[in-house]
Amino acid sequence: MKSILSTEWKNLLRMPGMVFVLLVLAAALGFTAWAGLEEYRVVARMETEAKTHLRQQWESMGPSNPHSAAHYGTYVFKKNHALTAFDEGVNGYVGRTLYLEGHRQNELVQSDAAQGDILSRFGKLRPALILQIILPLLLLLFAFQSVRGERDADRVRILLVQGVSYSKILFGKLWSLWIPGMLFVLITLGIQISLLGFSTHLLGRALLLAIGYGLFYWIVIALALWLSSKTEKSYTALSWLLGIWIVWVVFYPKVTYSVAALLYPLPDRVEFSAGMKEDRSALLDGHNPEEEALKSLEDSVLQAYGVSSKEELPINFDGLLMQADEEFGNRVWDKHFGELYQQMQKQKSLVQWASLPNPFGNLQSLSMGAAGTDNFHQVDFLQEAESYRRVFIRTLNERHAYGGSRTGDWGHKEDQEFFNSIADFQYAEPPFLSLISQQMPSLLLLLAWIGLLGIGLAKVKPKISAL
Amino acid sequence: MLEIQGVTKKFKQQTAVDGLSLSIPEGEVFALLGPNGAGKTTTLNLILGFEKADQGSILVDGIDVAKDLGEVRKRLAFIPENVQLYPHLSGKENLAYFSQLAGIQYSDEQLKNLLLEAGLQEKAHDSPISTYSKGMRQKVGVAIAYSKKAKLLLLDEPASGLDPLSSAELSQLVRKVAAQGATVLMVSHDLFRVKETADRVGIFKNGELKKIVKASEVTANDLELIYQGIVV
Repeated sequence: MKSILSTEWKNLLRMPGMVFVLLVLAAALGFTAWAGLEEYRVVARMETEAKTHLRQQWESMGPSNPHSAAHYGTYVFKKNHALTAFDEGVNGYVGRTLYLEGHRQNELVQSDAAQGDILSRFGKLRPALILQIILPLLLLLFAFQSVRGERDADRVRILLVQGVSYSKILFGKLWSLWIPGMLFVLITLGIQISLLGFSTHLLGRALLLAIGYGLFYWIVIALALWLSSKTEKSYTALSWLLGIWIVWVVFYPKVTYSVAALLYPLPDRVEFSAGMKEDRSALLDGHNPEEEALKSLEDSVLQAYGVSSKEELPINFDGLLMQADEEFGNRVWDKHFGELYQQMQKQKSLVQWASLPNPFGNLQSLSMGAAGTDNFHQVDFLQEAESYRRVFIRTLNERHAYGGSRTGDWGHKEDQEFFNSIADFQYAEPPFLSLISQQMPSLLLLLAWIGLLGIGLAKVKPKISAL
Repeated sequence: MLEIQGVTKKFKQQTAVDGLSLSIPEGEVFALLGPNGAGKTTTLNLILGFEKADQGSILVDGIDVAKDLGEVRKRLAFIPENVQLYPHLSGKENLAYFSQLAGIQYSDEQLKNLLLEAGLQEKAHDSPISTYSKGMRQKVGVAIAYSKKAKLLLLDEPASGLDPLSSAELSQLVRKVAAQGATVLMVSHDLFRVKETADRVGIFKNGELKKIVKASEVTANDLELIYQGIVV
């Protein structure tokens, strides 16, 4: 195997133009890695500055009414994962700024696409773009050429007569292309991680990325070697391989996403908001004391305190009312967002399993997942932000209720110390194990491909002209 | 050394080799002479184990090709019509690689001697094969056979496309291999080269071995007869 690897590498490196191709590839990867890192740092710096500024504003608000503070609200930012520098994923298309306030859940805003960033509309230059599309295409063409070269030059008969098996030659060729392919991945990841700062979490995700790309490259090369060995004519093999590549990369993902959207449609923004509004106005409304449910809440509180009117309560009933309103709103949001999330999960699951004939789809899923730039991370951020919003608003409402004021007193103010005690939102990414669990179907499908192609490569016989 | 008994090979309806029986002793150069499509290359592929015979048996050094191909291939060397090898590697690198595949590790000096023995001038040893003439590439092919110490050398149209000088050199090399004890089976449609190289000639047509004659007894006229289909 060592001699096959060494000969394949010598032969590859001495091909006319090969050094130029490798240099261009390395330069492209270097540039995209740098561009990704730069943008990550710029965005991270801007977000830190914005957070600091917002906190300063919050801490210099002065004595205020807690409910006014709930309306004043706060902003949270979806902190980009460090590996955004490697794979942009959906980040260019989704918002990363969320305004949190009382009574309502807002949508993420400030996406690159919405800001008219031309690059984001076409996909930003990231190493993943080159490592998912350009490098595997080169590996596929080299693998094809490698097998056809043996056959067209009638070397295959000399090789086999030397006593080596055809499968050993093919596996030698496979590793001779896989190793340099993986070097590009590992060097790119290594450089980015070393500049981003090592952490166990980052290394775990980088390892998952490397595994994903490693499995995919193995599949691409093995498929090219197998098909080139199976087909009689060079152009047949090449046509098949290029056809498969176009279907994998261009058509199949679009078809599966379209089918998923058709089978599990998501409500559009207007529909979603209208549904929420309708459910919300159906019962409790904190600013409408006529509601029946409000009366029930009021009765239970009055009974608990043993008084006959709100004015006699030692607390501010308005705070409780607003919190009840919040909790109803939360239930409405949970119901609607839960349905939306379920539909999204169904879409994702369908796309993932429908990617059985398309390992490229599985690689994309793995790459975005490990880089923290897929929809799963986006939804996780939304849920975390919503959980924070609930605690934030509840803290303010409870202060309004139990902070010493009485019902109807909207002029009551809390001092700055209270507001300072409310911590900022800190987003913690989903644990590594939950990421693995999300990506398990993709990993299993890639492994299934490897199993099938491994058997195929072990069994394939060279085509040797008969007459 | 090479014993072929009643070998038949069919591809769908076409009989490529029809009941071939042939025995070639050690040190002999035997040529299968016949037109294109006669089944010569199929015969080589059967001996090399790339095709399986429908009937009959092939023994190399007493070992059945159908039963122990690995052992048979250890005793074989093969030079195709157009030895391409790896164009971006030098003659020496190619020889080193093919020897390693056969499980033999040669020193640089040994590789040089093998190439010299095959008639390749030293100045060409480190040049890429892509700069070699066909004759030079054939010499590297012979060096590969030397390196393996093959007992049976199979050549497929070895002189095709060679200039007269290179062709004569190749004939001498093949004779040299045989003189060292190896058996040589070459297939060709070049009567002149066959007469110069082989000890015996088998006239092959439509998958059948029509007759075996001494190379010295074949005349140019015989070839005309073969191609006109008069030989029976």
